Amino acid sequence: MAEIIIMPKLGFNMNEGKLVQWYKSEGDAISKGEPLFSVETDKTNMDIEATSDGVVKKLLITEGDQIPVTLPIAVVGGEDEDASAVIADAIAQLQGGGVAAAEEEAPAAAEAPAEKAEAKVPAAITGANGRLKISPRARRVAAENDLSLEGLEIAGTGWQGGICEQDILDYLASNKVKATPVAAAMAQAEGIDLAAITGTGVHGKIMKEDVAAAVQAKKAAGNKSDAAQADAADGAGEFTEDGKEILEKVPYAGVRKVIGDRMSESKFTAPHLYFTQKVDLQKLLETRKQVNGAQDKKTSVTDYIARATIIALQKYPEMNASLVGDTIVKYKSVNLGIAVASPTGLIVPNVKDAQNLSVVELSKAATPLFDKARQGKLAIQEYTGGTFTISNLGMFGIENFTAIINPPEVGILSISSTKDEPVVIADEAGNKSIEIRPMMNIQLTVDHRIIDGLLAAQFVTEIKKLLENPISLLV
Amino acid sequence: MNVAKYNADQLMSFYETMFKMRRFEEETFEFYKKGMMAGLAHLYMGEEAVATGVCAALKDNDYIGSTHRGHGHLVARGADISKMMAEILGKQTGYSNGKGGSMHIMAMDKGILGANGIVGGEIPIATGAAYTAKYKKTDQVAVSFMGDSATNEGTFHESINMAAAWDLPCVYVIENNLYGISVDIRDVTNTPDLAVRAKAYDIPGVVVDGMDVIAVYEAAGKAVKRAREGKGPTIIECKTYRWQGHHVGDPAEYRQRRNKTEKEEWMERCPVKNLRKEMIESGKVTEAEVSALEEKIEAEIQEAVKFAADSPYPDAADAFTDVFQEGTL
Amino acid sequence: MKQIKYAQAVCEALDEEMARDENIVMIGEDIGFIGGNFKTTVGLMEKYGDLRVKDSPISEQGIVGMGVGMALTGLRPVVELMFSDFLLVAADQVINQMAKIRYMSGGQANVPMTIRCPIGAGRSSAAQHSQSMQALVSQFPGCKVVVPSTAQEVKGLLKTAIRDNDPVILFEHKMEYNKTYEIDDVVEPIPFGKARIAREGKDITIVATSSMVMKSEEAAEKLAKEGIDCEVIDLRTIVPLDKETIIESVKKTGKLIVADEAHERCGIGAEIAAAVADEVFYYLDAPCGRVNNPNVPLPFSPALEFPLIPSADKVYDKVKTYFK
Repeated sequence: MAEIIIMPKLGFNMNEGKLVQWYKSEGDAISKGEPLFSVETDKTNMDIEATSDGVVKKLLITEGDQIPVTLPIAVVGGEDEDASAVIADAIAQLQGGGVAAAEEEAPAAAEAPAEKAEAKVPAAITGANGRLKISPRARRVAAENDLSLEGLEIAGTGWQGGICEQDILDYLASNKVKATPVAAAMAQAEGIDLAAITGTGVHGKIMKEDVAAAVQAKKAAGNKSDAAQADAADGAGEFTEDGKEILEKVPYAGVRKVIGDRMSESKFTAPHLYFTQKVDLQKLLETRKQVNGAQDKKTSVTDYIARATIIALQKYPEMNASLVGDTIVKYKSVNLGIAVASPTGLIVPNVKDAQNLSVVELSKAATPLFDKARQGKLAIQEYTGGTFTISNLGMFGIENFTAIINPPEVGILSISSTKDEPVVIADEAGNKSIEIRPMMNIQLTVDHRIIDGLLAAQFVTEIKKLLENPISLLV
Repeated sequence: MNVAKYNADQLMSFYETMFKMRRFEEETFEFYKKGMMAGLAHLYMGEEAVATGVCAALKDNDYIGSTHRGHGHLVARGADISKMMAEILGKQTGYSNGKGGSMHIMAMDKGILGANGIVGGEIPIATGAAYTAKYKKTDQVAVSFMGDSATNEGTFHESINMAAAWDLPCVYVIENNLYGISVDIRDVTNTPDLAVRAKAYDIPGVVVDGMDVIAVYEAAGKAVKRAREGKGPTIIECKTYRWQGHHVGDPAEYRQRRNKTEKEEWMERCPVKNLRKEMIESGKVTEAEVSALEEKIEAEIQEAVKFAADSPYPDAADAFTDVFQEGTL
Repeated sequence: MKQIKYAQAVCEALDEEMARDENIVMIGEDIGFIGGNFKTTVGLMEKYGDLRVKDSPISEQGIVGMGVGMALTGLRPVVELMFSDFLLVAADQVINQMAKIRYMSGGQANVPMTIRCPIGAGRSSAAQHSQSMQALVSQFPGCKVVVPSTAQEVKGLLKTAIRDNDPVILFEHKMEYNKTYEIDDVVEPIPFGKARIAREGKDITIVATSSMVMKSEEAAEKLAKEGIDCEVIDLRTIVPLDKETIIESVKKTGKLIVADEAHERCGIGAEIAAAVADEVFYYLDAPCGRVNNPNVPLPFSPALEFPLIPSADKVYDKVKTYFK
């Protein structure tokens, strides 16, 4: 009976898969365990093997196609079998999933790696209960090499087809370039060959900062090279069907895609609610001047806003929380994230246990994080584990903006630029006058599932009060 | 009881041992009734004349193999009653540091090769000790005590057969108290006397009144002499009776099946009471002398009781020592 | 070096030890005049007299018990049981007395005795004369359990057994007695608790006892030609157990087979597999395997018996299941 081959789901978060390569053409014989195609996941490319012997009857999608997981991509059947009914069914399923089947003959598969094609290995990698069938020793070797077993697709050659130590060693050898998922995604986005990078992580693993360094090096080199190379960028000089000239085509992938997916997940999962306040920074700017005159470390406005946010978070711990499954976890620790632009996009390093730090200490703790972020050298623990985020675009003259929550946090504070504005000021006697004051917009975004409007209003107003009475930030 | 042949010192020596056994067992029973003793104990009360008479015929370096009802044998060999009592209570200061308990009190310094929890288990062991004595020509004798029921174990036959075949210096003493737990030996054995089995091995077999310390002493003396002379083993059957059941807490009602007053009749013949009476009546010792001796023993007993009660229990970790002399578990 | 039979190596060990220490006395069935049912005591009675080399009646419980009594009183008895099956006849004296007296006495007394008895099937001796009792007796704390392989090993280990101050049961293999081995001119006692690496290898560990060592080496030769590199460990003693050597080997190879001739159920293979899983679970690349007699009594007919006996081929086949 002919069998429909589907786009596999290779991880809990994988919704779509991109076909990188067919190793077989239509009409090719294939045996169980032989690689049939390669799929790109958010982490790596992975070979998928045939689960039975037969002949490739139909390839339904072409290399480069990206389709939802579990939709049909090929049909394999017996050599003399008429698979037309199955093929028709597969095409119907594919179309039902919103994908058109490949019309033209799939391009002849690139020469499949001979060793892989000849490897006689059972394909089964999971036991009947869906657990990974892997020996304890293989598990230990994988752990020692920082190889995550989650979604790992290795054909087992060990006891009863389980993964044994040699399988892991072979896998590691054939994937000599070990990189963190973020580093791999970054490299892909930047078109950097991981094999050319020397990793600085444990066991020579390529870290994000290694890729960032390579990007810098490439840019430096690129500046010197001839302009023609730059012109050869993807899509440059081409036109769209309706006549638009294309400057460049950039794959929506890697870090860009990670950020994008996270943002859309946040926005579509958490109902966002916004609260804006105008803050008079006159006193704060004077205070900052005095502080900066009194000691060596130059504090920034952001440092004071951070301190004010921390004090407010301690008063309203509901804001310093995250939704974990069915539980709202409120934290005593404030790991304050501060969004920074980096070479590969926006990144949010966080100052750990910031609740205990003064403004100057906060400044001292944050500055090296900003520097590292700009150089793309943040360690993973430096941009994960945050409990609340502030995002300051004031330096770009933005008057007001709305930020999307950085999940699983429940709020984010966006800070706009400070501008002199006429403000009505009332003295103690109630006499009003108009004065020019440096004013700044702050906007709080909250996850309305967890935070009610009243609390959010109180919280953002608390920050305003603190910033307008900066002496409270220094005690 | 033929006390006439014996002088005051000899008689008082017998009495001292028997009275000490009696008082030791009474205190053991008290410990049991007060809940201070774990497990069980098999009391020797009523059988004192047997161990006393046999051991009086031995030298200090001779060996004995003892049984589950072994307290009397140890007292007769002059074992330290404080260490015995401590062992019965499972204390660290006991002969076996609490590892053996009542049934396995061993006192190598007194030539006691162990009290044995397996009926008949001690018989070949004592026979082996006799083999050592023969091989090393040490002039030592080994005595294997056993109950009536042990005579129906294979070890009885195997051991006495070899001892007889090789003239080993061994004496087999049967304490026939009529019952193996509840089973009457007369119901499971065809001969009224067990010593008649000696005929099968062509060795002497004698039956003596186990309630008469002098009769036992004299029979044992002959057997020990014969053994020491290299003439081989003897079986001595001592007819005796236990005051208590098989162990503390056994009401022993089964003993009324044959004769409702069986126990009372035997207790009339109490070996301790009767020796006391006869030696005073003989005029060789006075009531006052005997009372003074009893007071002395009582003080020793109370000291042992206090020592045992006050002694600490072993550490749980001590369970892991003494498995091997060398090497790991 | 010289060539001698395994039985002769046993006899040499006994002879050399008796000559060294006059406290060594032997007792057993047929060990005197005819020199042993398996010719392991030939000439000893003539040399040492019939009080030191004692032909006993058929009284297994009696002679083991006498051994215990001798050991308690200053001798170093060596008791021979003609077949390891007869341990069961003497079981009370072996298990309740010999192995426990030191413990029950709180360490007052040692029991420096050795029981020698042959194990193994292959002589059409049927169900009561073909058993291998090493796993059974290892269950009981208090006696050491020795399973020598070659002539050299049995000679060295028997000397150690005799000199040991604790009770030892040493299992000779009846199918080895008549085999000729190369042996050192002088064999020193071999310490207990230290396994021997009979063959070094990196792919799989085979822990073997007694004649299974030689069978495993034979299988390893064949497997080596196929590129499978077996490490064969001669366990030497089950009690004490040299876990360290086994564990070091398993850390290297990741795979373990235990080859022992006793029945599989509750056997030494299960014991070692459990110990290895306890200590180096994350070094195991496959489940621990066993090569044993199956859980049936040994039958008489060669047609029935031989297919059951663990052989070099069975070790080979078992190893192959790990390298498909």
